[in-house]
Amino acid sequence: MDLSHDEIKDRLPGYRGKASMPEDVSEHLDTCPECSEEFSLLASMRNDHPPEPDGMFFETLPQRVSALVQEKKKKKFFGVIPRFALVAMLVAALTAGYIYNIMKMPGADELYAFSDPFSDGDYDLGALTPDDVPSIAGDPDLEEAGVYPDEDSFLRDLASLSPGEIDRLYEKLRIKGGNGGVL
Amino acid sequence: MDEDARLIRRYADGDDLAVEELVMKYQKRIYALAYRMTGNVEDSKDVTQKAFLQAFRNIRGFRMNSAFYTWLYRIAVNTCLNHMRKKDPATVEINESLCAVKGSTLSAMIDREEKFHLQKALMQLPERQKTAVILRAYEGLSVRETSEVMQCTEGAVKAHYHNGMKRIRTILRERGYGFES
Repeated sequence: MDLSHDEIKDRLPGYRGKASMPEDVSEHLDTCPECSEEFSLLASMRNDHPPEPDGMFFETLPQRVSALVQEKKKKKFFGVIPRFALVAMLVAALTAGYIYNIMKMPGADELYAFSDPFSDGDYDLGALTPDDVPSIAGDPDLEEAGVYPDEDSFLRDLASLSPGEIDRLYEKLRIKGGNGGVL
Repeated sequence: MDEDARLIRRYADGDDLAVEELVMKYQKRIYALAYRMTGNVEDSKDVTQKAFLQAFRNIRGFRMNSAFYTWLYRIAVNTCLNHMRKKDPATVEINESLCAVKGSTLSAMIDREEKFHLQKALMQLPERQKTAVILRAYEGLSVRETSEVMQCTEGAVKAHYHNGMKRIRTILRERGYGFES
C-alpha cells in the first residue's frame, strides 16, 4: 500500500500506537516531522482522561434518566386528556345548541311532540262540551229527533256524557222498553 | 439486528429497563464527550443527562440506517453546543499560575498542568473545529462517522480536523510546549 502524506495524516487518529499501524505508515512517521508531531499530540490527547464526576453520578444516572423518561411519557398521556375533554365539551355544546334551535323552530311542536291519535279528525271527542250535545235527556226518542245522522256522531256524544246523564239515559231507555245498548 | 437495535426495540415495546441499559452502555462516552466540549464537570453532568433525555424523547426519529451511537453523539454534540451558547463564554476557569510551566515536551503532557493547557487550547477552537477534533482525536471516530455526527461532508470533516489540530499545535507552541514523538 502506497499512501500519500495526506492520507496517512487522515488515518493517524485511528492508530493507538506504532504497533497498531502498517509498516509504511510507521516508516512515514519516522521520516515526516509533521506527522510525527501530530501522532505525538494525539497520544497526549488520548492520555488526557476527563475527571470522574463526583458522587454517584454514573451509578444513578440510568435510573434517573429512566424515571424522567417515564414521567415525560405520563405527562404526554395526561396532556392529551384535557384536549380530548375540551373537544368533547365543544361537540356537546354545539350539539345541544343545534337541538335547541330545532326545537324552537315554528311548527316544531307538531313535528316532534307526541301526537294523540284520538284528538284528530272525527274522533276528537275530548273537544266536545255539554253544549255541543243536544239534550239527550230531554228527548228520549233519539231516532225520531234525527240528531244523529250517523253512528259516529252518536258515539261522540255518548262518550261525553257524565255518569249522571248515562244513568238517566239508561233509566229512560229501560222505561221505554229498550235494552240500553241497541237503539 | 445489533444489540443497540434490540434495546431500542425493547424500549419501543414498553420495556423501560432498556433505557437503563442503553444509558449504562454509553454514559461514560457521552460524559467524556461533554467534558471535552464544555471543559467543566458540572456542565458535563447536566449535558449528559439532557442528551439522554433528548435522545429517548426523539427515539422515533432514529431510522436504524446508521449506528445508534453516532445518532446519540449527534444529539450530545448539539446539546453541548446549545448549553454553551446559553452560558457565559468564559466557561473554563484558567489557573494562570499553571501557565508558568515552560519548555515541557508534548510527550510529557500527562501531568495535570499540561492537560489543563491542552484542554484550554481545545476550548479556544471554533465550534466546528473543536467538534471534529474531539470526535476524531479523543473519541476515535472515523471520518465517515464524524461526518454523520456533524452532518457535513467527509471533506469538511477533514478540513475542520486538520485546521483544529494545527491551531492546537500553534497555541501550545506559543505556551512553550515542544513536540517530540
